[in-house]
Amino acid sequence: MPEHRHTNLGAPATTGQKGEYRPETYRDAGLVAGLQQRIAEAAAQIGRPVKLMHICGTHEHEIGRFALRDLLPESVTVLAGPGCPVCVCDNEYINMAIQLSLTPGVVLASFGDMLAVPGSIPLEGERRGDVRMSLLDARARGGDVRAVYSVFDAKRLAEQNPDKQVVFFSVGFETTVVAVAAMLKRGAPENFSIIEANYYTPPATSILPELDGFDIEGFLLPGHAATITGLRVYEHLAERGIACASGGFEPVDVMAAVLSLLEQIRDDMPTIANPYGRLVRYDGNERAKQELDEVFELAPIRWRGIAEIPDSGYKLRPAYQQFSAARRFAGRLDPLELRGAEHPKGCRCAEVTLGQIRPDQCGVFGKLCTPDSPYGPCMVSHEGTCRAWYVYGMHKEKLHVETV
Amino acid sequence: MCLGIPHEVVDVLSEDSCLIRLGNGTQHCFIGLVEDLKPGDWVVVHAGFAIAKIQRAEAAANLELIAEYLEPETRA
Amino acid sequence: MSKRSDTAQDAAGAETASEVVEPRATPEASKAPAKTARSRYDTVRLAHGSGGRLSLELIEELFVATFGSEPLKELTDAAIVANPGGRIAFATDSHTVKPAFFPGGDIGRLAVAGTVNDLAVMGAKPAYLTAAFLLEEGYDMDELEQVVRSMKATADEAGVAIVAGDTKVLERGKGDGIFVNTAGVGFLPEHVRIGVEYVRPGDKVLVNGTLGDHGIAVMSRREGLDLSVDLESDVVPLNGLIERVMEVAPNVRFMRDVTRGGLAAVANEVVLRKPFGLRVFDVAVPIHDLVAQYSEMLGIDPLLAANEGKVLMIVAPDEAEAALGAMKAHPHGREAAIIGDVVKKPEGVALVETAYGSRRVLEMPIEEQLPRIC
Repeated sequence: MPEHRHTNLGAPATTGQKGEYRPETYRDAGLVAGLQQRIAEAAAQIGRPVKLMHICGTHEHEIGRFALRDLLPESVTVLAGPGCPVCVCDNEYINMAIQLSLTPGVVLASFGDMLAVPGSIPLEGERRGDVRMSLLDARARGGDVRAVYSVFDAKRLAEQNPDKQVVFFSVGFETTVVAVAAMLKRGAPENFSIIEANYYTPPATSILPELDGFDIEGFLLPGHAATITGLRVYEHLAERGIACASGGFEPVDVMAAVLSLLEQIRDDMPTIANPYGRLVRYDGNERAKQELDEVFELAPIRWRGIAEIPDSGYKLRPAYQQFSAARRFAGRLDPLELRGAEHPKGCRCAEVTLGQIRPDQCGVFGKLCTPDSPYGPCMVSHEGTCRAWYVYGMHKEKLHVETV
Repeated sequence: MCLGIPHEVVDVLSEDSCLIRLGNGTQHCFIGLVEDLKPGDWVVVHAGFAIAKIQRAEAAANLELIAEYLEPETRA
Repeated sequence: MSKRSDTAQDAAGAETASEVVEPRATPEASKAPAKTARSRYDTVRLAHGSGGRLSLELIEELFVATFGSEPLKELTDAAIVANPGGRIAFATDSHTVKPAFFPGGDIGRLAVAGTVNDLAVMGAKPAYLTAAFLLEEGYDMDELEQVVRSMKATADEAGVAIVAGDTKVLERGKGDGIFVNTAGVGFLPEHVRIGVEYVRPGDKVLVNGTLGDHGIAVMSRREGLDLSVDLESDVVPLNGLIERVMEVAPNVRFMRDVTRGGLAAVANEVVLRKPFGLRVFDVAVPIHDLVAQYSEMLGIDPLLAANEGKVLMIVAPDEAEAALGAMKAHPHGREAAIIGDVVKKPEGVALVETAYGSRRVLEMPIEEQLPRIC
């Protein structure tokens, strides 16, 4: 460690007073070093290569930001699985959003991440490759597209523009959709509606083990989604002999989850461990689940480029159907001539999303497809694996520093 | 999918709303999905609403477990 | 807002004789302090930019009266200034920041400090600036006056004079309120040898304070984030601080002000195609807690966020502590820090070393991002 380095992380981690909580504890270098040591020991005891997987774009982001793969032994690989709601959002919804934004009297409110994602409406002559329209393209053509942080912002837009129809492009996994349910339950303006594009992840974990060549021995479970869903919904993985551990997002949390998985694998005792117990309860957040269940039901939905997965899409229940944009605007949207392929030609986002290939194994990564000019969804989204890899340089050789 | 930031609850305004500490001031946060909050509690906030309360006892227990891994000889 | 009867204007933009002039009401309290009514007009008119009587009035009553430099008072086509000889540093910058007023600064201060700093990081002593304005018809005159006063105050702080200028007015709808351009000259002492060609492995990297403040401040206000707290931006002229540092650390290798693209942009510019790399220690970078929190929420890395009033200096290793001391002794350098070093390998790479010893590449930033999904 360099001599002038100071730690702004406070005193070495202790539990402090009973019940004292300090967020910076979970970045403590001493704790991380200790966990790193134990991970190395467990990996050595296992004595063969082990593959682990997480299913959360934010996990990949944090792994990149803190270069956590650097701290793991060579024999342990952590793969990025389907963790990006933007990346799996089917073209049908993107195309609908585009059409609605171009409809007079409609304001399309969307998370910033979705704006640059191409759907399947072809766009000739604009850029190189198989180019399709995104919401940004729609905006450039006069579409009323607004970026919002949250569904509450979209609701405010509706209140402030009573003469317009405000459609919220509701994308996201379970952590995000709870806000939509909470909002709708508490009352939304009449001129407000949503495109139902929220996805529920646990069923995707049933698909993964069915894939050819699946050799994942442990799953880092998404810590914040799990605060809502609980961990019980992942039991089928442990029953198949796959280790599971709830993963938080600070370095200590990620390392603790990895260690838990390796110990389960070493001892051949796959279970559902909960290192992130300070937030995650085994049955999740009952109130949130109730509100979700009141407003939404689960239906089959297509995961872009992957498959239609049963019970993995959130659709409004009959009592809330009036907020469905699909219903409200049915018959008002012109049929479209669409590109057949779900992803632009050359884009291997589906395989990256499933963890079957690394981003740098996609032919357009870093060439036709960069964050500045993204070709496919995995590069657009902050939750996208390709973007995290590019931004944090994870595709490059491990960095060796020589000073003089 | 999962960006959530821990914040301290400064004041509970209603069943659905509280003020969380942000820097030297406060910010509104929706708490309709979390129960039994009082000032001094910590919550994890995602896109303007609290998704869960931090269970201090659990946190302490977990840290003790981790601390057990850190024998004196493994400390940097 | 006072009521102002619209006056009929002839093709040349001159007022007709029938105009009725009413006393001005007090402006909204939000931005400007008690105003001194220089202009008879509430808002900028097309005529203010067309070179006629209104233009002259605006120039004399606002620009000359506020900036007050001798060359300006002459009202000639160009300023004549003294030239001490030797090399001249010359820089220009246009400013489009929206909103024009933000916590800790405004477009005027930004315009002056920006050009002053561009000159100062070359090792030059900034001396003279020009100021050109592109105003949209209807732009609030009080705001314009405040921008101009702010420019004067900043120029005084930096010890520079604004000696020439220009004003044009764009039709309503054809401009975004106000754009400001400043150009400046500074004089380089003979012995000063600063440039990336002097950087070598072992050199230390310093910044004069916390990073990311400006970008996060502007972004959060622009996004309408509920701000019960204010993030101050950090628009300041740095020539004073740089002079102090160079007194005790004459072998400064390289300086650059850290603006758009943040630390990441500067770091990458320095190492591009060079036989050395630049390493930044994560924990050594000073970042305000509030900026850290907001940047998590916005999904913007503070190392990539814009700055104003921040300079990166690469100094000789044996002068690093002295340079740091000089920075910290200066009002604009209290939170200065040594944040990294120049390394022999990896070549051409800017990297971050974390608190855990792991390393990641600090990539060239991509264009300004929209807020995250979650």
